[in-house]
Amino acid sequence: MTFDKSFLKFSVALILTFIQAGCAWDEGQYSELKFKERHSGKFEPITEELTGINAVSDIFPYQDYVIVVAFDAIDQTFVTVFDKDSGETVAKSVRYGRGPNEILMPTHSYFDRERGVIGFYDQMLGKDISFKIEDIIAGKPNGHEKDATNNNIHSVAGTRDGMRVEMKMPPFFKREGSPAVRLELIDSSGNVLADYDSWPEIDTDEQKYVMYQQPRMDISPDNRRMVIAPSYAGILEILSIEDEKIKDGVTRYYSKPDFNVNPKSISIEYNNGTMIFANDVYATDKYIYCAFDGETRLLNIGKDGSGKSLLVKNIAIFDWKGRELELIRTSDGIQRICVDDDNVLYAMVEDSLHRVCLARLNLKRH
Amino acid sequence: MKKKIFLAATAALLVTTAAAFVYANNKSADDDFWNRNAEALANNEGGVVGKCEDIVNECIAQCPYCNSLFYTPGHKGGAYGLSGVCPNCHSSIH
Repeated sequence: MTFDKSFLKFSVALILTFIQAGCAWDEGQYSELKFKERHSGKFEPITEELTGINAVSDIFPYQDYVIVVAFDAIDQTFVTVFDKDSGETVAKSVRYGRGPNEILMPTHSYFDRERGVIGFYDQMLGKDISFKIEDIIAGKPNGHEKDATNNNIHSVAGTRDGMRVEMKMPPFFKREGSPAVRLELIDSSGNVLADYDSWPEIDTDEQKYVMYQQPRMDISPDNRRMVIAPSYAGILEILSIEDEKIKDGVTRYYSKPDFNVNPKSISIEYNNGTMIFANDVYATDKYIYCAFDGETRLLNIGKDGSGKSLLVKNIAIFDWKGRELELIRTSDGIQRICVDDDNVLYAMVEDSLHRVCLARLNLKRH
Repeated sequence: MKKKIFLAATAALLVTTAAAFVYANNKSADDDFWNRNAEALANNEGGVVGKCEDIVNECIAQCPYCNSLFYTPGHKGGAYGLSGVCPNCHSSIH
């Protein structure tokens, strides 16, 4: 049996082409992060160590204040208002509990910058409660309560006039036939103005469910765009929410999800490659700021005897096309970030002993 | 002397009356607040236990059958080692 030489060459070339195409199909959409600028930055503490405050879940600038959503184990409150210049604690409010003006979980918080309203979609209590910041500062929180019975909500971001975007996902084992649409733009009366049901390309449903259980999500102050980032993969999703519609924007793929999923509880199990990328995102009209790691293997944390503590020390800045502009390396662990109109970045930062304080960093980029 | 005793008694009576008046006016609001709290706390039920890894994210666990959330304030995630029965849908979580 003999082969024609040209036929052999053609066959080899064809096989090589297929192999190359296969590799490109698998990895091609992911590109390495290449920041145009890299430099170091130093946080300036505004407060002393904030004893008792931990598990920070959000932070917002508002007029002369910085609002921090975190659990205060001493006062059993979830909202602390700081004077952003002096660092003085102006108010502590929204107690942990099941009574009036109280909540059990602060994680689905949303902020209406124009009206100065902070809200919490508390799925454990089944109530959606919002407070005026002025009332909290005056020491008279007067929560406006509504029923909140939808268990499928995974994140909430506020826009204006009481509008917000909710991210939903049905229970993993009951996905079939579930009416849950991924994103909904909802007005203050609860009417759905727009919806959006696409996802980034992710290999398995298990990975998707785990990655978007606690997504980082924010909306630009001009209410034109929103950003979504999961913490366990380098995927940056940018959508338009102009004209009360949610539209496709840009999705940047930087690092593939790399973790195992427990098949029974559908919860994350680290492997050798598991890392955290976005620990928080904050949107301004021009840029997307991201508390960013992308280098620490979670499985190795604590193996050197230093205790379990991941300090996310970097701030990554992207434009609204998802392009990597700037990486600022700091020496502090960054829990949550926000940026005010004066281009000052405020963050709850912690050291290796978990001592937390409010700090600021002047940004160069305007 | 009698005049002094009379004045002191009158003053004491006035203070007592004022205190009783203030208490009576505040009592209903306070009682309502604490009653609602006590009622709410009495309904506290927990069916799922687990641990918080205290590395990143919130310490939230979620029932994969009904999406009920189990959240622990003051800790970071991830939640692991979950076991129990979901108090909402009664599914076993392991």
